[in-house]
Amino acid sequence: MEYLINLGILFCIYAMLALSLNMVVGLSGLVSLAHAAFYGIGAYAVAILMTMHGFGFWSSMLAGVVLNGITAFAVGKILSKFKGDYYAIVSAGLSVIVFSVLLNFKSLTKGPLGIYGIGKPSVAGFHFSSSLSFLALAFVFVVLFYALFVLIDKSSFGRALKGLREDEVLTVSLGYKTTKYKSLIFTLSAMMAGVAGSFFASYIAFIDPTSFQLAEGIFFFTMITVGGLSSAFGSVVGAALLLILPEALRFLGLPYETAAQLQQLIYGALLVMMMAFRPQGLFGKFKV
Amino acid sequence: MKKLVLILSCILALGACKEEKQEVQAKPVIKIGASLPLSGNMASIGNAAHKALIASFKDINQNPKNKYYYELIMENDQMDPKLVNNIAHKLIYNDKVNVIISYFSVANRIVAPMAVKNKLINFMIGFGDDSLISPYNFQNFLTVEAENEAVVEFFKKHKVKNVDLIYQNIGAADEFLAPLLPKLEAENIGYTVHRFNKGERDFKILISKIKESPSEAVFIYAFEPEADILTQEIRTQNLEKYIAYNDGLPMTNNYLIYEGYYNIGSIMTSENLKKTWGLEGQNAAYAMYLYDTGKIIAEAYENAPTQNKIPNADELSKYLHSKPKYSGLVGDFWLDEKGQFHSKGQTTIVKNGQMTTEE
Repeated sequence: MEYLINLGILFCIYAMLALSLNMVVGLSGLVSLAHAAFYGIGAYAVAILMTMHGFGFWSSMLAGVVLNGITAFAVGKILSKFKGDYYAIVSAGLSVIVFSVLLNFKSLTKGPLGIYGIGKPSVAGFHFSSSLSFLALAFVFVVLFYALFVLIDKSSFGRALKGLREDEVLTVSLGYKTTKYKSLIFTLSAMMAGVAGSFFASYIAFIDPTSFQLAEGIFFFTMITVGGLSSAFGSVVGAALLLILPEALRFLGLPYETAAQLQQLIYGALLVMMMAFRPQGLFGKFKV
Repeated sequence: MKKLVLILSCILALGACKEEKQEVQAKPVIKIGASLPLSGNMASIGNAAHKALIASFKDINQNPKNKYYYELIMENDQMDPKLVNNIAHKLIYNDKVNVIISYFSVANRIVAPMAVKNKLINFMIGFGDDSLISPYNFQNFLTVEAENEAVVEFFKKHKVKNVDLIYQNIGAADEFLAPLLPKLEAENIGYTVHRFNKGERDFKILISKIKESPSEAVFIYAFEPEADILTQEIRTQNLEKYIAYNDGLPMTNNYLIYEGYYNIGSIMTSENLKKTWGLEGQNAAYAMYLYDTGKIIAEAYENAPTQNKIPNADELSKYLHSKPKYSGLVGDFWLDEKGQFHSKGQTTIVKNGQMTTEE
């Protein structure tokens, strides 16, 4: 049961990330690979403030979210001048920069040693130290993020984003300031990724820079591509699939001499097949 | 779409419904769980550990006098914290292992608190620190102090007055470097630290800079493939200094480029593992510690006094701490009150493409 609860918590964290990333990629058509960076900033804000400065979880999370907002707004201004492949490359650059900072700014982040002993949140004296209570808390945030996604999707803001996704020139000609929209959705998405990072740091209680590399950003991108772009439900399904699939493969009873390698082969092959059969993802409304 | 759902469902159902293939054992079964990096950047040492654990428990299970049968459950953590966390949960709550083995500091830091929470013996192979101390956590690895002592001895023996230290930017390197520097200062050995990030491939400028430096030795903390590339550059530029490595050397599968160079640190050669199990070189990196860990676990289970069907974690811990000395592939070693096993370091040199103990 405890193992399933653990998977449930990680599912919630992934679902938050997938929902937030799908707002940028799915709704707006902006291929962002910077999500691991914002996830990392959120996680490190909580880790540093809680373990080194005695802050509580919520204030640390808020600090991380605000820091992400400022960073994303500044970077978003630059990024919004790009589109398509260029947007992806520049956003990947941000991910590499943040990873390098986390790895090399040792006096602040402890570099490759990582930070451990990160505490759990509490509300009005109730400490979310049990796995079940932590799962419940994380699930509340997934529901909030889901609702926010649906709200934006159905709003005029969401329609403008989708217009930008389908034909930016046409959207501009209709009087929409697309750079503003791009910047806004990027900032909002980054702040949400910061929340997911905070939960991750608090739950695992140990973080190091390897969890926030560009490869992790590509993994998040895979989640929403598999689940379906521009779909809140697809985001959640993608997060669940990419979490459960490799874990389910552990139970296949493969010969232990080669189990690890075979598991990865099967996992990779399944992803290839899935994309071959359904390139728009399981519940996708849009294809990059 | 239907096909896709069908395939996925089959895989998930297969995973969920898999019948336990466990052999029927007359003896009570002790489950040993291990979290190892079997793929990814550190796969070579993870796979060496994997082979060593298999060898150790096969040897142990061959003894008909044993009261228990030891079953190994090994999972691939890719040295990724979230996978370590998943594996620890699976091993503890799903597989209900009796003992857990965590490999390297990332796994140690995640598994150690879980071992305490669940009153489970955890053997950590790799560096840790005092925050991981508990009656349930044991560390069986060469200590940072012992490694550094071996390094300083090497410099003193070769009358090194200045050394260039090249460090890969990874956690273990930092744990090792910080306490080494004061020791060098105490011995009046001058040093210059050079650092590089994982993934760097061009060491031309670094080596040409070191070539001009007054140092008599270069000490390198790097793993493959960077260590190989760095060494190739040292060969190309014909650097005429003592070249020594901290444990990075045995992880190569290309000993020829290391001819005449030293490795200082963990025990990396074992005639026993080589003859019986064919484990040498890259396949034996840190393997001795894993092999010995298996033996320690089995010895504790077979001998710990117990009031139960099998000894519990408290009884095992008490037994382990009551034993003054241990012996294994790493030689004689002993356990301190913090749960750290202490063994000596080793200096080896590559001669004729083989790693041999230095003479």
